[in-house]
Amino acid sequence: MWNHIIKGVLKGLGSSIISIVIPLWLISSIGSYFERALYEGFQTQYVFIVEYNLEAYFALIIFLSAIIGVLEESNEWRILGKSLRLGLFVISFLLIYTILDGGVFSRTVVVNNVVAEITIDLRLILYAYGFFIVLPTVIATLIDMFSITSKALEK
Amino acid sequence: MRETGTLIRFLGYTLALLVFIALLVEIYSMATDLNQENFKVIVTNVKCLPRSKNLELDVEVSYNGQRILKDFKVFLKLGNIVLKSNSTNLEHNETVILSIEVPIEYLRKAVYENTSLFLGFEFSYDDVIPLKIAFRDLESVLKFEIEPLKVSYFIYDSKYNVTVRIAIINPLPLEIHGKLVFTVLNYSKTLDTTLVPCGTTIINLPTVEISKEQLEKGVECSLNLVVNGKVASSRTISIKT
Repeated sequence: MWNHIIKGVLKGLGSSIISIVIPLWLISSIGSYFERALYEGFQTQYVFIVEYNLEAYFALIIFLSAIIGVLEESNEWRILGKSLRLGLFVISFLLIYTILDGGVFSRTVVVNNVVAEITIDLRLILYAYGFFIVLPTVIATLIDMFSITSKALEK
Repeated sequence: MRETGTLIRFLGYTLALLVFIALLVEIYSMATDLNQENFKVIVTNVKCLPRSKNLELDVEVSYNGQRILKDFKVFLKLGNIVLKSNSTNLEHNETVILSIEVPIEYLRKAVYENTSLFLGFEFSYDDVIPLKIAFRDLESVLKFEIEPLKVSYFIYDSKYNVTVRIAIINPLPLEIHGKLVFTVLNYSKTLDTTLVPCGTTIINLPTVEISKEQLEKGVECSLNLVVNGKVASSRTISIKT
């Protein structure tokens, strides 16, 4: 039993880190990198900044993913685990999409007493994440679920 | 069937990685361009259009970086209204002049209703990353200039009667109603002023009595043009014999 739990937790951790934490950390890092470059480039001071508390969301997602991983390892709760993972994945994407303002980073800065509004549109990154990570994972999970169900029906 | 799922995941993740790397390279390149100040936008000319009575701003834009700036446009944001120029593609070492026409009604709003005024530019960096930068410094371009024309002295009992004639240049196609606050030494006078549209208004300031010693040392005369309760232009003139 412990074997299943440990295996499930590790699987849950691994899948959430690879498919949610790393890509979103990359997206927010790109945003922050650009923001820093912007402020250094304009030699300006901060007027308004949004701090993304992504770490708290990441911790919650990893925790839920570990629990779901345990469910996925059990023979009885496998389908429920897969469904929950799907739900968690979609909710995580929508949540992060909202936190990152839909990928449009807008800042107001002051350059030599002149107010400047700077907007960078990084929606392409979120679209790439949606199409190349969220969508394939959703399809792959659905395929897994069909495969498990058909095997169970065959038995 | 399970293998198909793994394959789809693998393909998706690989493509995502490639897209992220490509975007990272683009953003790095854009950050370098910003750091090296490779984008330049300067208002070169403000002209009144005689037929439409609108205002036209000529904005010179140049780019010194290595990429292509697609759909480069300059824009003027008056409150919620955005006026845009035609778009152009800017390449390495290219300089283009873009024009924005500002209707007189919008200008009136900007002058008399304290509407926020932003001048900015937007483009798509290498046709990948859209970027928009707006500066709230158009007031410095659309400024009413105060120029001294002539200072006349009239000697009266070891004192001087000094009269200053000034010109105020109004770059806007609007008749501007304001107040001119004229201060010299302890004397201050507020004059109601009407500036002709797109032209120069000549004003004779009230005659001021100044002692010979003070005039020999030099006297500072300050002029503030107040439009809609806001100082629209200031100038200090030094008077000396």
